[in-house]
Amino acid sequence: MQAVRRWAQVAITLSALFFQRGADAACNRPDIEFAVPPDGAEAVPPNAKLFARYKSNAEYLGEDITLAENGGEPVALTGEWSSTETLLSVAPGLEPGSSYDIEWPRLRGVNSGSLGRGLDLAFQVGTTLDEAPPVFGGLTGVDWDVDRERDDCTDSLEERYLFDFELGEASDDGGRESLVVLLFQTKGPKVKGSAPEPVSVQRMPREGKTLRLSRTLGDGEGDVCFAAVARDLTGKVSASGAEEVCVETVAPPFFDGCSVGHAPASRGAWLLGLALWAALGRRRSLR
Amino acid sequence: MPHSLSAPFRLGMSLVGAVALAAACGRSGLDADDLDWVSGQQLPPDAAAPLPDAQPGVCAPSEEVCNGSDDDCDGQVDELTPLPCPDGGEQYCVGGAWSACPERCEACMPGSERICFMTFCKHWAVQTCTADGKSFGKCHEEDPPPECAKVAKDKKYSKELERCCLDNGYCCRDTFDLDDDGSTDEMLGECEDVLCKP
Repeated sequence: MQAVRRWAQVAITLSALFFQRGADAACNRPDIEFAVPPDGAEAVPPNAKLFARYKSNAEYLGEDITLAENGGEPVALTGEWSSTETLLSVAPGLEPGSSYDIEWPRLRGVNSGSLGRGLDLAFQVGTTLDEAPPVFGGLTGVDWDVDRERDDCTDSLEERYLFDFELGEASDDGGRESLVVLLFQTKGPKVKGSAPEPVSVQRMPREGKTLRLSRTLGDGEGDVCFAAVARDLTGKVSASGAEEVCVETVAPPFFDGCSVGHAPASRGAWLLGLALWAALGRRRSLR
Repeated sequence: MPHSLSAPFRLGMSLVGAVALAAACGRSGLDADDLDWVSGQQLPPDAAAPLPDAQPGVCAPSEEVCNGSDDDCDGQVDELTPLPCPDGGEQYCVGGAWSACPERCEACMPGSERICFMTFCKHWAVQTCTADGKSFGKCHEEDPPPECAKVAKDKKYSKELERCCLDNGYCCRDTFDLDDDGSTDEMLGECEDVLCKP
């Protein structure tokens, strides 16, 4: 019995250490967030540029992007790096009808010695050029909530507003799945002047799915408005930025006020009552 | 049948009614001249022709600009090419205005640290940037470094302690507004790895 207890203690300690190390590693690891065209994309236009979005502390130091056509020998390419968007891109000039395997590199972080995650994916090139800008209905609805999650870096609970946006129809001659959505906050406590603030770059979600954005309590409280544009693989953007959605948020904590008093008695209250009744009964019987 | 009418009389009345109805219906096909008769006014010669620019609800094409309107009358609002930003990225026309240029992160580089100051105990503390780079976490008290230990002990929570932080090469929260710009949430000092700079 003693041996079992000791083994259990060892197992708990090791698992705690393992999870602690995992959390530390995830804190500022400069992982890739997404790439377009995505894995399995078909009919990618031959004039497409390939993009990979990394976390904000990623640093590109000329690491190779490897591209293999039709399962052949991989070719090493040097990418173009936008440090403000942490976006790595390459315009290889794709062969119509060919299939490609691309390996997006693992990058180092500004404050992190360890490498982040890269991404390997495959896609098929079509024969039609991407010539028209995307057609996108923009944001059509918004819902919000407050989330409290343990942060990997601060190891404490951090509160965030979560906004879930409903999106209008989206299409592009380069494929819907390769579109990127750029989200902007057009009204809010920290929107400087009249210039909308870029707040997120994400892949276009699947049809019918919502797009999620997190904001700090300072950025998302009160009357807030958002707008979005879609960008395709050639850099053309939709004319959807004029469609704004607005919502009024309130800061936590939330109270239901007097409705709490009208709430039906919970099971806990019943159990407490039962315990009190039993205790009184026992006291009487002791007398 | 006391009130019955004779067949020739009924036929005559029907004919008179039909002629009167035809005469009335003939006026239902109105033309421009008829309007003089109806209202004393006259319509434009061709009602399908474009109305003058001053008329409301009619688009007068002009160059598309970022203002939330369909200036060029093509049915699309603000369909403008993004503008390149000096440090990379682009500005987009959204909500009728040009967006700010993108920044690498919103508040700080994920996992980076800055020094903050507390009113009690050691007065020296560290704040870590959250994993999403949107904010700093809470101030966690720490022993001040040897070079600022005496200042922390003597001057406690003070401008002098922030000055010591800056003079010794740390990235420090400007709690005492040493740069006198009215902001106490910014950071000063060696903050290259903390700020959202490209």
